Amino acid sequence: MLKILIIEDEPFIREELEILLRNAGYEPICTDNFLTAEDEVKDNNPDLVLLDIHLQEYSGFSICTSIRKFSKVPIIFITGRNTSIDELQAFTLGGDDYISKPYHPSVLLARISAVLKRTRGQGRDEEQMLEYKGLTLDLRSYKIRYGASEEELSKNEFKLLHYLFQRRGEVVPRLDIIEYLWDQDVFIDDNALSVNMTRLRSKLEQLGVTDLIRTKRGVGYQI
Amino acid sequence: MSLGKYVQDKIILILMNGIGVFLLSLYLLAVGNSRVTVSLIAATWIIAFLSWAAVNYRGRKRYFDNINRLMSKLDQPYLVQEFMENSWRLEDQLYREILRRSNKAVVERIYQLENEQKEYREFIEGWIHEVKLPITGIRLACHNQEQGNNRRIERYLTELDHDVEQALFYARSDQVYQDYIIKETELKAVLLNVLKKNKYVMIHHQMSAEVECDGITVFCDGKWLEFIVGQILLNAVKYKREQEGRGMISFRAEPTASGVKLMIRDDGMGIAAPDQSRIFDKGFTGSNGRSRGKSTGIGLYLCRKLCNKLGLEIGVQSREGEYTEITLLFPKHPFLSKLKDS
Repeated sequence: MLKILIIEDEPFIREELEILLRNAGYEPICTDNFLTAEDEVKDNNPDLVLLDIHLQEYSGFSICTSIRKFSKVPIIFITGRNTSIDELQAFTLGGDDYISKPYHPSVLLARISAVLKRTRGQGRDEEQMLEYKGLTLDLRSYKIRYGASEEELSKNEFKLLHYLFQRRGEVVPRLDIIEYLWDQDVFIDDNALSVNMTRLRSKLEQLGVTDLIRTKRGVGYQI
Repeated sequence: MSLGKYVQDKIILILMNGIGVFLLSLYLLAVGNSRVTVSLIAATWIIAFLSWAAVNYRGRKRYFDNINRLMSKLDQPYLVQEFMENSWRLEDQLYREILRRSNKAVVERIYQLENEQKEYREFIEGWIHEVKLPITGIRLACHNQEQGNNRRIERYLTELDHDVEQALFYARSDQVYQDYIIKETELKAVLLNVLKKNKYVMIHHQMSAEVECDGITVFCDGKWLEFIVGQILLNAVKYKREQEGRGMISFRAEPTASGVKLMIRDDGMGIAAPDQSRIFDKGFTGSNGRSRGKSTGIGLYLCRKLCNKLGLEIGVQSREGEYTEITLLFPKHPFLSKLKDS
């Protein structure tokens, strides 16, 4: 599990951040003693640091400078005052990213995983293939395979199927699907979801896969 | 200062002199002087008086013309006293002293007001940053607990966030120059950010969006641009056509000869032709605003103000009942483009 050090002076935000990161599969470490923040980095050797710039009577920038003296750990700055000067300083002092409050949790998680990916190299044991009930999903080429036949999906159809694969067995509400697609830069509405679903089903049928996706009336879909 | 006004001002002096000449002539005649002598004396008096008046008029006229010219050249005319020439006349000196004291009072008052305004603005900015903390907290808490109310809370939070941002940018809009970094910005990244920020509101209102601007970059400050686009986006949500229930917004950018043109088009209720030229005015709500009853007339006003400060052009095209298209023009800066090429 990747360790993330949270340096944040607001207790309730610290607690919520801890829960958020734990739910997302990281191992959060918190500190409220900013004077020893750099020792915290030395002792725990985290994979990433979330650093609030405006700590009470203490500047995140100076913590960053002292961490940078001995470590190259990725640092994401978090700030409540989004001024350009802060942003500039965050990058010149060696921060890897900068995000301002009030941030969306999903955006924060996306930034964290982007920074981790960038600093730890691309090839981090990510799955390339997903398989369920004999149907294979190739994450690199947007193709599905069933038996010997193959079919290419559009970006939207593929992401839709991918999401259902991630929650296999569950009844996935339509709204969840739409929200997931928005996170993936596919900005569609309810109608378009139905259209994409119809197209996906007909492509699946061409492959000989029938009844993979079941409609739960008034709720959502299930595979 | 005109001659007529001058004569009017000196009327008593003129009358007194007239009466003086008349009475003197009568007396001189009565004591037995010849008519020629008397006319000569009277003529001398009159000529002497008129010469004095002419010189005096010219002198006064020059003095006041000078002051007026100074006034029109100064960018703060209330400081004219500092530049007035010295005059030997007692009256001028007294008036100048009065002006000086009055100016001092005005300057002090202005300084005080400026200070008060600055303090107020700093308080507002500080407050806004304070209020962002609980918003962040609620958002995180919302995300961390899995329950059906989240989406509704998220939606209200988005609106709250939007209002807070608006206040912040309004407070800051007069001093943009202190807080921006113009750098090469990928347009798509900015637009995707805005869409994701407003995800819950957009999905709730059954809006869909299209973004077509792959690989186009502009020289702009990302933060300010995000705010401007956000305002336009929320307007599209607010003014979608009611009967259909769904709406669509598209972002399309294309390079032009003079820069980059970003077109933000929705299929909403549109803007009536007579209103179109006024939508960027402060406090203008128009017939749409009145019918939807949520308009403040601040959003687009701020957009235009910020665009002006950032050197962007903003325009609108619309047909009522069909569409609204807001155009943002990012001028190509020769210097910046050269930097990019080298």
